Amino acid sequence: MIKVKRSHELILLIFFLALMTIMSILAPSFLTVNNLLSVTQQMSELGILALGVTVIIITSGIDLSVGSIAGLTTIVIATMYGMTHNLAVAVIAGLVAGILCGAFNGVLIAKIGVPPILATLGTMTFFRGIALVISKGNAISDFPESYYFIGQGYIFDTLPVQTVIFVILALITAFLLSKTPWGRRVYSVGNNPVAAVFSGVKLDKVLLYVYIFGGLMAAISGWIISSRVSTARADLGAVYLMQSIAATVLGGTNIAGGSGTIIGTVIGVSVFAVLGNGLNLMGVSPFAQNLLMGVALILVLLINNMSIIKNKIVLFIKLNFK
Amino acid sequence: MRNWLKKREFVMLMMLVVISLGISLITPAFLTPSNLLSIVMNNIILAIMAMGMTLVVVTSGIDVSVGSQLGFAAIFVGLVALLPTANIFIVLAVGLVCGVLLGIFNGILIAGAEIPAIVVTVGTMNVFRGSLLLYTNGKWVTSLPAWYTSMYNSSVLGVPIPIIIFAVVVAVTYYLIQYTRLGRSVYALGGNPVAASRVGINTDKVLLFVFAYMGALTGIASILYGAQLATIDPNAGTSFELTVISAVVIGGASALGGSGSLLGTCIGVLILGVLQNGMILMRVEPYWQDVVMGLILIIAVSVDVLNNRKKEAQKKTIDVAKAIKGGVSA
Repeated sequence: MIKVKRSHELILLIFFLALMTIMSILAPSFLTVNNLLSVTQQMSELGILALGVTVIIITSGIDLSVGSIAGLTTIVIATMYGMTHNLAVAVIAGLVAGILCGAFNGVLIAKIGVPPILATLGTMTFFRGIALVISKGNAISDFPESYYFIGQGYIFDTLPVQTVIFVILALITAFLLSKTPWGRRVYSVGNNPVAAVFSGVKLDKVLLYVYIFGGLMAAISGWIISSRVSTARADLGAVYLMQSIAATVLGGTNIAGGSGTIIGTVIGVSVFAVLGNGLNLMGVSPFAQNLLMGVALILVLLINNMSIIKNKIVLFIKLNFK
Repeated sequence: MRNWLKKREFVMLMMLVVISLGISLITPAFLTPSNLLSIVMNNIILAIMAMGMTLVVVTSGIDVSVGSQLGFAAIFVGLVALLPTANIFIVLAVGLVCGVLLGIFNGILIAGAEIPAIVVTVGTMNVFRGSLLLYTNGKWVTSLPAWYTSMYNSSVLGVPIPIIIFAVVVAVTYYLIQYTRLGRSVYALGGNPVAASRVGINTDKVLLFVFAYMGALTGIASILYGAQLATIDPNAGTSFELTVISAVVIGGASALGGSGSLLGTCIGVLILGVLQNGMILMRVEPYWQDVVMGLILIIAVSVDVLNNRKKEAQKKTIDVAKAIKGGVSA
């Protein structure tokens, strides 16, 4: 018998396949090419955000500001387009805004040494505030027709554009993490920052680039969101904040840092997307999706920590009933 | 005296005074007894929950499910208050029990299954909110009875009831962390978990207690929430957890665990409350509120980190100097 290595990704993959099977039995229209393509379309925005969050969590950091960065990006693109009427300039300005936000986080965390959760808690409010000030709290929907291609268009009339972008970005991130010196440094910083410093890793530089990467991914995600819904609003990315962290952790990235893979995150995001889409097709209330996403996250982690729980229960029984 | 001046709480208190003075110079309406009372009354719920969050942060944990807990408990309290046989004691008991149960649910997953607090509470945030929305189908709880809603505005011996409840919460929390073994264990666990378990502290029990206590205070806050607003939205408390955490952090609790005080948290809550109230009185456009709040938070944590670094640096030089002197004298 072949001994399969029992990894988190494997458990998750089995969970995911079981979920797919259940969905295709319960909702006949689930397992069609068109529907599956639309699932990938729905997961791309969350997925791209989660790519950045994954890299950040691997360094044992966290970024609560990604939702606000996405919202700010949409506002910057819309405002710049209103001023210049040049779409390329507007989109570049939006992406640069995301990079600057990421750099701001990075400076606070890497140079000053503020714990990531506190730094990004502050910048989350701050970036959202800037977006609200620029837009005066309004939604802006003054875009040209060509802007909608990214979020609503198809390549060869079948492949959703954002799915293609997501796949390309996921491949790039996976390559960066596993095949480049930068990626190895990201893991080493998360595993043991002291050891990383002593082996010549410039801690602050690595962290700075990690948060800039997170900011850029958030900006791309914001760009796609605003193109899909044809509007720019300061709170557009907010719903994805907790979901992106949940999907990353579901995908096996250790919140304490040092381990995690892009394929895991992609499966994690897919679980959420399939759950949402399948329940929708079955006509289940959207409120139940929230509940089941939380249950899925906790369930997978419980299965993962089974041995710890078993030991504790055995110990508890020994101490109290013998 | 000098030590007292250097304390983190004193710095934050000075900041609060400076902000208050600045606002009162611009708008005379700020520094009136009725306005100051309304600042306190409007932030009682935040303050009660921040007391619990202080303990959670001291253990280097975090609880992002408290917003959902607040909504969950508030709806149940509201539904019970609508029953014909209900009275104020039943309502209090239901809120408290509901909160404690939600907190224990978090605590078992965090202490028992050793899943990190942020992950568990991100999950339970969705579980609590989702099950609540599913149960209520998104409907609000309205037309609450007068005996319940009047609780918020009535007073005993001239002191409003919410302030009395807050005072009791502070007194109980202070007693717990200052004079009981369990409460001291909370700080021990946050300061150094390995050392804490070596000296015989049952760390699982302490964690369970901290999250259950957080739940209990959220339950108490939910009772006041329904009484204050008279209608309860099943989305109540959405993203309120971030305000609670901000108040605790501005108050000086370290996210690395082991430090944090109730007085500091109270000042943190007041800074947030005064800023919000002042900006409304000064007729600042509401969009600027987030910018200012975010900046205050960023500055507070950055200054804290820089101060700590300076202190650490001083510590090291003193140690070296002593060691050299010791060597010379020997």
